[in-house]
Amino acid sequence: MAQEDSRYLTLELVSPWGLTFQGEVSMVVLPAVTGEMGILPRHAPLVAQLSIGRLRALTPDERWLSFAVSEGFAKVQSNKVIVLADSAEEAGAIDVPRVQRALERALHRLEMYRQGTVPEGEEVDPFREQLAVHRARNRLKVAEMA
Amino acid sequence: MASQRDIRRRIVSVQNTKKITKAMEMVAAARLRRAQQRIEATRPYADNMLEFIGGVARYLSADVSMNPLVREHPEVKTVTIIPVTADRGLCGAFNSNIVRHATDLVKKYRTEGKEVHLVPVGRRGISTLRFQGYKLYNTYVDITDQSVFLDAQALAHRVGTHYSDGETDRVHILYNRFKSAMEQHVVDQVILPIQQELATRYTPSDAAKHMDFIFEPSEEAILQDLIPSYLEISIYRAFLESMASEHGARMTAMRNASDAATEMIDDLTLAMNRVRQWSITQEILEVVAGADALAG
Repeated sequence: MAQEDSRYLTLELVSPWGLTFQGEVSMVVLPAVTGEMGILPRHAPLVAQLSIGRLRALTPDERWLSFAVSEGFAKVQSNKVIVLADSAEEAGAIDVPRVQRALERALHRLEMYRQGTVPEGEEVDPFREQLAVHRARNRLKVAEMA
Repeated sequence: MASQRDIRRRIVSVQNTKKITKAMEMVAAARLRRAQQRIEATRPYADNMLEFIGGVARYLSADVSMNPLVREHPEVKTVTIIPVTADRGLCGAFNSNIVRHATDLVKKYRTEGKEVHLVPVGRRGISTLRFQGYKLYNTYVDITDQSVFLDAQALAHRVGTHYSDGETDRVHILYNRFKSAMEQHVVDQVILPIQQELATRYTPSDAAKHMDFIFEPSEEAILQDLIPSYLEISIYRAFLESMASEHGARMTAMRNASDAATEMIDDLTLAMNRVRQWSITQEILEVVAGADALAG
């Protein structure tokens, strides 16, 4: 079994929403903060910081899987890649109209914050909205590329 | 004495109320199920993250206890309190328990001569605290199933920045922990500084220093990002627990209300039958009296 294993990596993609993906792959391309990083089987132990972007994985039957991921970490150790991301969605599972609505909402709230027209009794956290904008744009991009 | 018609009108009104409370009970039950699933779904992430932080910290030569979120401030002058309530009411003592605990804590710290910053979450807590005359520092509302992690991150970022900038020296979060639909407990947790236990548990051991992990981009950068993740998860968990508790509390409150309505309808129906019987008896008496008069 160890022989068999060394041809593949186990990829685990975990977010607060649950386990997005778990399975054998022959290559993983991570959106590391330092740039895209390809991980092949028998890679040296590695801990990488991930940015918002697209994570790709090549399945044993030579298909590319594509995921939209947000900031997080990846740990590579003994042929296992564990990705912990703030959010992770398979490209095909992205609900484009919903993401668009979320993007518009966040942009609108940011605009109100900049103009100082936030309604009385409400509060806008610019950090939160900025994060929402980045994530929504990334989702749209990944959904488009798929 | 109330007329038959008055009582009938009351019965109809109580029946309508019962329909509403029954519907709310069912909605709360469905949401509670979803909230519980959400807590379950989060577990692999939280477990992995904690293991990850522990694992990574052990391989780092940098000292975790020097991180600005872990390091204790020499003197506690300002305390931030985050009471987590709901946006909506009709859920029994759910919101008032949190508010009471929060005000008790504020009083306790004020008598010690410390300044208190209140950062309430949820419309109910915000309006009650504002009404009681407390100055609110920041507020968070409209936390939904979709946005809960993002909101937790935003709040973590805000209090984390305040803490590292020295604007606050301790941060409490108050939330309802879910036991069952009937039972929720108010939990008072200090989230900043991040417990020393984390730092001591994961200070680098000699053996681990020799493990050759590659760090991209660097040990320091990763640690600096990991520690806030720990804070985010603490807040995220509090939010999820609070959401499950809210739905549980509302379900129970609405079930009690529905039961009370059923009882009230029974009582009113009884009262109405009495009134009807009384008026029938009265009429018969009158007829009999009239007949007697004629016969006499």
